[in-house]
Amino acid sequence: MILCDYEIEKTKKESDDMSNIPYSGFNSYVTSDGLNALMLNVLDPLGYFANFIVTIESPVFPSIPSTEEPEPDYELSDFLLWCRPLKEYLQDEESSFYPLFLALSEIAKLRLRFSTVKNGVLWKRMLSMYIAHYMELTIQSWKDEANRLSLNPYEKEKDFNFTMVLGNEVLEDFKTTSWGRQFWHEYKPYGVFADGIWGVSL
Amino acid sequence: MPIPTYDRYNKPFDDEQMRYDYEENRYVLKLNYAMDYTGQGDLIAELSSDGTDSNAQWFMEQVSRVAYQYIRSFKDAKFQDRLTYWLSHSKSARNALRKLMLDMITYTQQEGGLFTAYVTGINLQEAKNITDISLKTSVGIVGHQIVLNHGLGEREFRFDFDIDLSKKGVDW
Repeated sequence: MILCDYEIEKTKKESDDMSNIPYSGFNSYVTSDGLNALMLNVLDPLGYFANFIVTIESPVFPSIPSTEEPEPDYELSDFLLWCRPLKEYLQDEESSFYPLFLALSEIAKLRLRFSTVKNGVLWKRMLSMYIAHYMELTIQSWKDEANRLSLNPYEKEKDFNFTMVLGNEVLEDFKTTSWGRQFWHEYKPYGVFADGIWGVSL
Repeated sequence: MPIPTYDRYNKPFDDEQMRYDYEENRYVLKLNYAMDYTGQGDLIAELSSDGTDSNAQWFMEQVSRVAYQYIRSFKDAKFQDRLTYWLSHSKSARNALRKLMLDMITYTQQEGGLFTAYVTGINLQEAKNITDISLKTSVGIVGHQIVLNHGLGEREFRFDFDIDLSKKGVDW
């Protein structure tokens, strides 16, 4: 069978999703190793005759319907289930914290893709922990108790840092808040599979 | 963006409990209400030197001044105008202010209360500063708890609202 360029591209995308064992409906792959490929390439190296599609008739596994859930909607109520202390600050859309929640939930969905976790409850909990972690850091900076973002004198005794010390180890990043620690504990096994390279996306 | 309707008065107003001073942008307790609520029925006689209530009225002003200053101590300088607006337009803030000022009267009658805000903090006997003196003593422990519980001590505002500075002193 000879395909036009568009069909070849489409078939390539489909074939990217499959494992080494072909399934019916996905049992084709594109190759340039046809019988006359060498000669055709010599005659017309830019022609589409150079591409062939190979269809495996047997053995082929039966098609397996996808069991993957669609990405669930993530809402404020999902967040407040895990982060009760902020309930009073997120009563309605006019709260100062609401735009922050919306922005952080968008970022959290980028960082923590549902396709990685594939479970709605776990995914929502991890999103909530991620958001709560950055909420705590943001609230700390909003309070600005050391007057860093103020023209008032800087208050050295109130200069809180976002670090936790355990023994001789200084914990940073997600380990600085209880929310971040819970998030990291849950996310660690999934993070290995996120974006190919460990730790790059987070 | 305004303060949400469920917590907003369009303008500060007077009632039988408090009046609003547009020049100094603050609420002041009315004397009769304060005496009745706190049980300090002899306040006028106690403070008066000439039989009038002028000293007692001055005391109400002073309670208001110290209460506002205590609340202002929690907010950075850049928030002070917004704080003035919020205190004069928020239903919950008006209620909290009333409670705070009433409690300060009770506290002042017991232990000197708000006047401790004006002590020097110097032990003349030993010629040393008393370093642990705190503005909290001017409102008392209960007053401080009222401030915390009603959100008057928060460093930032819960609602994102705009203010019109050109109307300060006129409308608020």
